[in-house]
Amino acid sequence: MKFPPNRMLVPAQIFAATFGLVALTMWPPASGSMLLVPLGSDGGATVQGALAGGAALLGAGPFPGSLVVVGDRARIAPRVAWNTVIMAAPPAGCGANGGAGRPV
Amino acid sequence: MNHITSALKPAFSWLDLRAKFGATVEFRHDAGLNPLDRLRRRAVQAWALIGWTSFGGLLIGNAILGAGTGVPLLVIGTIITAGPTAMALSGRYDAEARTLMGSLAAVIPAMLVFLLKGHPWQMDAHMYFFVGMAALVMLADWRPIALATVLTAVHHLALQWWAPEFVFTGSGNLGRVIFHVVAVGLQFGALTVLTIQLERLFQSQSAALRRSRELTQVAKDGQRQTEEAMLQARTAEAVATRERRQREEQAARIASERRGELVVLANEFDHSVTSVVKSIGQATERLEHAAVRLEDVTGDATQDAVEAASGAGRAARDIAHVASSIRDLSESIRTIAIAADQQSQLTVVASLEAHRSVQTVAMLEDHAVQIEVILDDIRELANKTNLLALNATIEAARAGDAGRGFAVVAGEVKGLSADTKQASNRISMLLTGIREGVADTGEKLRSVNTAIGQVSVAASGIATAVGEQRFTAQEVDAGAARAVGAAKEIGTRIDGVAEAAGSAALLSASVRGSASDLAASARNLRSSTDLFVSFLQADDAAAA
Repeated sequence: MKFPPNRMLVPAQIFAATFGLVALTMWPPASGSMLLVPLGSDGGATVQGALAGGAALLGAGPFPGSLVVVGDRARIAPRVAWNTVIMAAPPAGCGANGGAGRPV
Repeated sequence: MNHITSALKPAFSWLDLRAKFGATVEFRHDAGLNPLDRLRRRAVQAWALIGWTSFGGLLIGNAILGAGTGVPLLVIGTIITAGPTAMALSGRYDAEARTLMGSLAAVIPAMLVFLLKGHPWQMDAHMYFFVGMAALVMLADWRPIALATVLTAVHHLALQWWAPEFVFTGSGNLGRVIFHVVAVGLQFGALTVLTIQLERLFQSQSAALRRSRELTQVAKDGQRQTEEAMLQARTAEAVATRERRQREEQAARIASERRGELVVLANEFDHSVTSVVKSIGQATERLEHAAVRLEDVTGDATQDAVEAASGAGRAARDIAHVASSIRDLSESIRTIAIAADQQSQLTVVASLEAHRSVQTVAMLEDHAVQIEVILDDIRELANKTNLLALNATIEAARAGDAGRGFAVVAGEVKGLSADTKQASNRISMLLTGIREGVADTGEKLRSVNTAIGQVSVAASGIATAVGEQRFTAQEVDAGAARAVGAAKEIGTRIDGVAEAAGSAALLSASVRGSASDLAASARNLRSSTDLFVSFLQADDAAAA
């Protein structure tokens, strides 16, 4: 049986899969270490918002102005600015080395 | 191949369950597909179902674990499963549709890893990557395996490059990532070899199945034809048996009838043969006599022909001799004709000369007449001179002495006149004799001229007659030549006649021999006929 070819079908699916894999990798956990990346230049507001949400600062992130915090995503997210991206912070991708438990 | 199909059947048993539960997937279209396409079509549908089942299982796990990842799972699961589901519902199983399934094999285990983030089993969830890649073998295509491999390896390597801490806790460990990528690559290689072999196996099985179906169809056709042939054979055998029985009965009846007819025919045949043999004997006897007579006749004819040929040869030689004589005669006639022509020409010349002589004689006569006239004039002059001399004498006499001399002259003149008259008489006498001779000569010349004319006419007649005779002689000569040729041809034909007569004699001898053989054959025929008729009569007596 012959089907009409669609050249965009496979690339679109690859894009969707890539997007899904990246999103899954970067999706912040419900609680734990998170990376706050401000898209603007007001890094102080981001820190204040995170602290207001009960997060604890762990250090600077890999990106300029980014922060690595520990906290509850449900509490932090409403406090930070709308242009701050909340991402998972390492180690969070494929799991802890040696099968460690949830990060503190 | 059958054992492979049998081994795969349990794996697709759920499809039968779908059919039992009234699922929207229709399998009736599978009937026209070859086994490989059927496998791929069902694998695409299975992968769509796997996607949604896993999706649901992940959501349930999220609820059980309280991981709080429902939203990303819901969003990403819906996005990533939509395309394969559309392929399955549209019945597509082509290369594009199969390739899309590779994304499910990469993303669904990733979703499981994501769900178990921070859980002690998170690392163990990676095994489901290999389970998913292995499950792609159902598609019998290396493309989806390659896509799953590339997605898995690339996203790990990309993260290793961009954010190493996202891959493994602690510091970036490229070696470990590469170690994983090599494992995935080896998995891809092994599964690719397996899928290629599986595809070839299915293709060969499809060809064998198609061939077996063709052979089965041929066998069925052959069986049907055999059954039809056997039925026809049985029918034909029954018909043949019935017809054979009828033929035997008919043959027996016909044989009985034919036997009687044969006896009658034998008797008639015997009678006919007897009469024929008798006729043949008589005919051969007559033929032998005729042949003998023909031999005699042909012998005589041959002898006559030989003699005729000899006579024809002699006649030809005589005719040739006559023709030679005629040619000599013709030559003599030609010589005579030439002489006659010369004579005719000479007579013409003589006639002309005689005519001129006659004219000359006539002219002499005219001259003689003119001379007589002149003599008459001379004679008259002499008379007048004599008369004058007489007058002179008279005068001289009157003159006396004085006239004496004159008287002498007058006497001399008177003598001259007498001499003149005397001479004129002699001339007249001579002239009369000449005129008589000329007249006689003219007469004779005319006679000669007349004779010459008659000779010329006779010579012309001779020339004409000789010319005609010459032409006749030429025709006689040509006729003699033709007679010689005809005599030769007659001789040749008579030789042919003699030869034909000899051949006829030989044929007559041959005919006589053949007539003897025919008479012998007639006797043999008579003996055979007697034997045949005796046999038929004896057979009829035995059958009766």
